[in-house]
Amino acid sequence: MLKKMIVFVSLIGFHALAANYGMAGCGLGALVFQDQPGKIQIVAATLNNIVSPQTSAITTGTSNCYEGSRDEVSLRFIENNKTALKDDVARGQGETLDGLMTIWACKEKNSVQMNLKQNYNNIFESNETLSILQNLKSNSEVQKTCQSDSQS
Amino acid sequence: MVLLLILANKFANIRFAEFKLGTKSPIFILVLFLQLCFFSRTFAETEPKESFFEESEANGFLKSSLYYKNKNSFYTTISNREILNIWGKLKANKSFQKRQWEKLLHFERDLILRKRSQVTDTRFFMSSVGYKSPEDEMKETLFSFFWKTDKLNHLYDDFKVEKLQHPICKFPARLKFIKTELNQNEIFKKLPIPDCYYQDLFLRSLNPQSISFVFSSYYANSPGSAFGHTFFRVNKKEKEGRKKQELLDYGISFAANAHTDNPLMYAILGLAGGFNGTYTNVPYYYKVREYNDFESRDLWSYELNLTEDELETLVFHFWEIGPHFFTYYFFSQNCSYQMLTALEAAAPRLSFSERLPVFIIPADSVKVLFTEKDFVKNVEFRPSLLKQFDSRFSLLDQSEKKIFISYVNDQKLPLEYNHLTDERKSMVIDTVLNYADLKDPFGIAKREGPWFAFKETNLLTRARLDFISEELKIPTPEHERPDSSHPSSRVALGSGEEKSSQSKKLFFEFRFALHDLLDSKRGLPKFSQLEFGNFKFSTVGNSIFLDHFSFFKVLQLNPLSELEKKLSWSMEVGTQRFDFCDSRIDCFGHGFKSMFGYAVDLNSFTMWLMPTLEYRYGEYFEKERNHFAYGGQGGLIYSLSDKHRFYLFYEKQCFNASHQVEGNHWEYRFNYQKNISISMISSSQNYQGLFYLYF
Repeated sequence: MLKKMIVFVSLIGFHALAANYGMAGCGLGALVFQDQPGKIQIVAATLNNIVSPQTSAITTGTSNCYEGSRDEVSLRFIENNKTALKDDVARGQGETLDGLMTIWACKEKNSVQMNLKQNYNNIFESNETLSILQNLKSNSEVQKTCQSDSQS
Repeated sequence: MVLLLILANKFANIRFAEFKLGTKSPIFILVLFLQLCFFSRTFAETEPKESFFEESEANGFLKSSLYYKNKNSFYTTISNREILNIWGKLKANKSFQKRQWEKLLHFERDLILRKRSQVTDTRFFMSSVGYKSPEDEMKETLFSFFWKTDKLNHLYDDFKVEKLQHPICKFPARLKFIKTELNQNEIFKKLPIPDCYYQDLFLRSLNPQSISFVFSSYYANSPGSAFGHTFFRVNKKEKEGRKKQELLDYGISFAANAHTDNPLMYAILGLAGGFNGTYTNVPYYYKVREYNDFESRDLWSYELNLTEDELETLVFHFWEIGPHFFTYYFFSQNCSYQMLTALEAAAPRLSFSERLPVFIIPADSVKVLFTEKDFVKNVEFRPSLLKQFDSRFSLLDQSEKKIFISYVNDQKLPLEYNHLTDERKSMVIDTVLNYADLKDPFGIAKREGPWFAFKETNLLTRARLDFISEELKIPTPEHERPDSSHPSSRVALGSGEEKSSQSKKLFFEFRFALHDLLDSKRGLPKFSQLEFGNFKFSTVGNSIFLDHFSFFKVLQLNPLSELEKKLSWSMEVGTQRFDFCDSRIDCFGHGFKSMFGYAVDLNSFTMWLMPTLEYRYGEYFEKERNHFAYGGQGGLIYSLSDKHRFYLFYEKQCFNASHQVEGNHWEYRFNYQKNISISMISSSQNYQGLFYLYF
C-alpha cells in the first residue's frame, strides 16, 4: 500500500515540495537561493565572479553574510535588487533606490533620483552589475552629494 | 528507528484490531502518519552525528578536567584552584539546572522524558557528553573560557581540526549567562581577550534595535510552502535623520538543508527527520525579493517586546547556534518551533514551546506570540507584488484600464494613450511594469523571454516620462492578519442516518491542518482549501470504522478575470470507502482525485466547473482492482457573510467506463466563533440529515 501511495505522490510531482526554505546563504558560492531552483541563483550566481576573494574569508565557518566594504555592500545590493532598482530609477522614486542612497549616505536624495531617472538609459545600458555600479557612481549628482566610494 | 517503527506498527495494529477495522492498508497509512508525527521528537534525540574530536587523546582531554589539573598553568589564564572554586559556586547554585542554560543548549524532553539537546553537531558542545549533560557542558565551557588565546592555534592543531574561534568568541550568550550567575565575579577580570573578528562583524552588521517575527503568507500553488514560513527580522538601529529601511535589515531563518531534489524523498525525509536544519542570516532584501516579488506572498511582521538585555542575549544566541545542525522535522521541529525556542533561550520568562501542540505550523507560532501579554508591540504589513499591481491597477480610470488591457495583450500602445497627460501615462506604464514582473518573474530574473523584452522597453518609456511616481500606499488588510485566523487543527462530531440501511450513525473527524472553503476566511487565503491529515470515522453499534482518510487535499480556485485566465485545480490523495465490493466493510479505494477547470467569482457567489480524474486501487473491488474514473464537477459557494456559508456541488463520474456514479452534496456552515462551527450536510449518496459540530 505504501508503495502505491509513494507512486501516487511522486506522480503528482509537486516540485515545490522540494522547496528548501530560507537557505539563502550569502557569500561566495553560497550566494544562491536554493529554494528557488533556476530562479534567483541565476541572479546570484554571477556575483561569485564579481565579489572580491576577501568575502570568502568573512564567511568561513558560517553560512552567514556580513557587511564588508561599502563597495562590496553596494555590489551585492545592486546585484540582488536589480529588477526593483531599475523600476525605481525609471519611476524616479522607490524603496530600493532609497536603500542604495542610504548605503551611500546621500544628502540630496531628490536631486539624485531626478538625475538618475534622466540618465536611466546610460546607467543600465549594460546589465552587468559592475558596470551599473560604475555608472551610478560616476553620475554627477551621486558624486556631488553621496559617499559612494569611501569605506563604511 | 526502523525497528521502532515496526514495533509501534504492530502495537498500533493490535489496538486498531479491537475496533474491527476491516483492512490493514488504510490503517497502515494512518499509523505511519501518526508515527511520523508523534514519534518524531523521540527520534530527535539521536546522538551527535559527526565525531568532531576524533583522537582518543583529544577525547580524553575534553572529557576529563584532570588534564587541567596537570596542564592548567600552560593552557589557562587562571589556576586550577581558582577555576574549581568558581565551578563549585555554580554547582552549589545548581546553575546548570536553570531553564535558561538548558534552553541555550536547546535541551528538550523527548517522549520517554529524557532531556536531550536538539543540536546534532558536536562542535556545539565543549564536553563530549554535553548533548545529554548540562552539568558537564557547563563545567567544560567554563574552563574553556579561560583558555589562553595564544595557545589556541596550538590546541586546535593538536585536535587536527579546522582552526576555530576562542570559546569566548564562540559562546557569548553562555558567557553572559555564567557571568550573571556568578554576579560578575572578580575572576572574570582574568578572562583572556581574544580577537573575535567574526563575532564583532556579525554584531556590527546586525546592529539591532529590535526583533520582528515575520510570517510569509500562504502560497497555495506550491504545497511545499502552503503553510507559510516564519523567520526573524533584525531591525537595525535607525541613524539620525534616516527613516527605517527594511531592505537594509537582516533576516534570520531556520530551515532544512535539503540534500535531495526528489520531491517524494523530500517529503519523507522531512517528516521522518532526515534533514539537518540550520539557522541562516541574510540581508532582508533576499527575503523581500523571494517572498514579496518572486512568489508574490505578503509579509507580516510582528515586532516583539524584548528588553534590551534579552535582545542582546538573543543576538548572541543567534551567533552561537548559527553554524550548527539541528534535526529538522516538517511538522514538529520546524522553522516555527525553532524560532520560538531561540526566543526562549534569550528570554526564559517566555514559555511558548510548552503551550504548543506536538505539531506546529507557522500560523500557530504567530498566534502563540499573543498568549504573552503585550509581547507583540507592532504589526506591519508588506504587500506582495500582486497586491502592488492590484493597487496600481485600481488607481486607473475605466478608459486607462482599457488602454492597459489592450496594451498588455497586443504589446502595442493604443492611440488613446497619446492623449493622456504625462502623469496618467506614467501611471499606466507603472502598472505595466508590475504586470510584467507578475507574468514572468523567472524570465525577468534570467533576462530572457518576451516579457523581459517588453519590460525593458517600458522601463525606457517610463524613464522618458517627466513625472515622478508617488509612493504606493497600500492599507493593511486587517481581515487577512494571519494571527486572526481560526485554529488549524479541528475535531468534529456529527450524527446522521445512512441511506442504505437507515441506521443512525455517529461521526468523528480529526483534521491536522489547515482549513476548508467553508471555514472563516479571516487571516486565510480566500479561494483555497488546504487540508492535511483529515480522518473521518463512523460508528456502527460499538465499532468504529474509518470512512475516509485524506493525506492531503488542495483546492485552489483562481476565478477568471479580464486579465487572468488561470486554471483552478484540486488534488486529493488518500483512501475512502466505495460500494464496489461484495464485502462492504473492506471496500477501500486508495488513490487520488484531481480536477482542473475554471472558476468565476461574482460578489458573494463563487462557482466552478471542473473535469475530474480519479484513480482508486482496492484489494476487494469486484472484478478489477484498479479503477479509473473520469467525469465532472460543478460547484457553488455562496457566502452570505464570513459566518454563514452555503456550499453545493454536483458530480458525475464513470468508473472503468462500466458504471456511473452520480451525486450531489450540500452543506450549510455557521461559523459561530473562531473555533466553533455548526454544519448541516446532506449527501445524495450515503447519508442524509448530517449534523456536524466543529471545534
